[in-house]
Amino acid sequence: MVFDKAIVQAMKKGKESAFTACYQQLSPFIYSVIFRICGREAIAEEIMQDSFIQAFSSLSQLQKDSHFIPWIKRIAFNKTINHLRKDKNDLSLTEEHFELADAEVFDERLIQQNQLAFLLSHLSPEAKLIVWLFVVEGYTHIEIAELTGKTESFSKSLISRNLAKLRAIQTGDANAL
Amino acid sequence: MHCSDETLIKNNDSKVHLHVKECMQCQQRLWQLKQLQSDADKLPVFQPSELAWQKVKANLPKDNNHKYRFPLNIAASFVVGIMVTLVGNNMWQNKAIEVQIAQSSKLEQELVSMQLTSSFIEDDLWQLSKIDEQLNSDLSTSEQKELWKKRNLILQRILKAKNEAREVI
Repeated sequence: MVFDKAIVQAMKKGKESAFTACYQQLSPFIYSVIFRICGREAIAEEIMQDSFIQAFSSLSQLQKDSHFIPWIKRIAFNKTINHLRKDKNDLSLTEEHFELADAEVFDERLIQQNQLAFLLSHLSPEAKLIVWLFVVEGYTHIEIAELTGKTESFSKSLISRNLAKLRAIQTGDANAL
Repeated sequence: MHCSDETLIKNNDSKVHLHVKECMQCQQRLWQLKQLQSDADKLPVFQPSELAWQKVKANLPKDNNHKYRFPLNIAASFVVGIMVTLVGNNMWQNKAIEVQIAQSSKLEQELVSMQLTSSFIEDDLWQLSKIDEQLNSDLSTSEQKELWKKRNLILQRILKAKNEAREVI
């Protein structure tokens, strides 16, 4: 994704047009990642909004303008983790909560064609996040451990186990995952 | 010994590169990781609702260009305050001069009615004439006020001296 550094500089000066441009350019990608992980439109939208609000209001803390995208993504991932933790502890959850609007779960064609979509559709939200951080965002296990509050070995074994299962499926074991 | 997923995904070491070249299992795992990364780019991108922007927009930080400017209303109050002080001071000064002039006229009338001799007040009259010359020139309000004050003091001194002389006589 190409993102103009000038937008960040203009945002630091408080230009509203720059904030609008930044939101228009990045919000679909950030929203999609969160939605893919937590599976609910309303929650994904709320986390995305809060991430943008926090990023915009704390721009002075951003060291390098070129690091804006990983920075706002990290804010979004942090908020997603907090939401997942809260969700886990929420005993008042009803069945309705689990009616995940995960578009990819229902998009069979995509799941058949796309290994990542297939893998994610079989994982819990927390595992989805860890796989996404490792495979797509290029986070190290140390970074994942810092972000999730889990041990390094937790993400190592989770990734290795699920990738092995995926390979097993590709070689013919349909029940591996 | 096979490479870890993390080592494979980074693949920035020549030893790893050599190992992967010779190890079929690591090649397959590396290929799988690359395939997954490439699949991420093919995933659909969802659009958040239009309303989502409204909340973000409502919380946008203020324009930093105005952040450190002196508040306009305070600046305006400050300017108005100075103007009021200046005008007030000017009016007060003018009023003070008017008082001095009135006093001066009164004292002069008293002196005239006393029929003073010129020898008695020669030096003071000379000073008065000098002050009158100065008063005709272009002076500031405060300078005028000071001159009028000085002029009245001279007049009062003349009157006092005259009264004392009269008492002796």
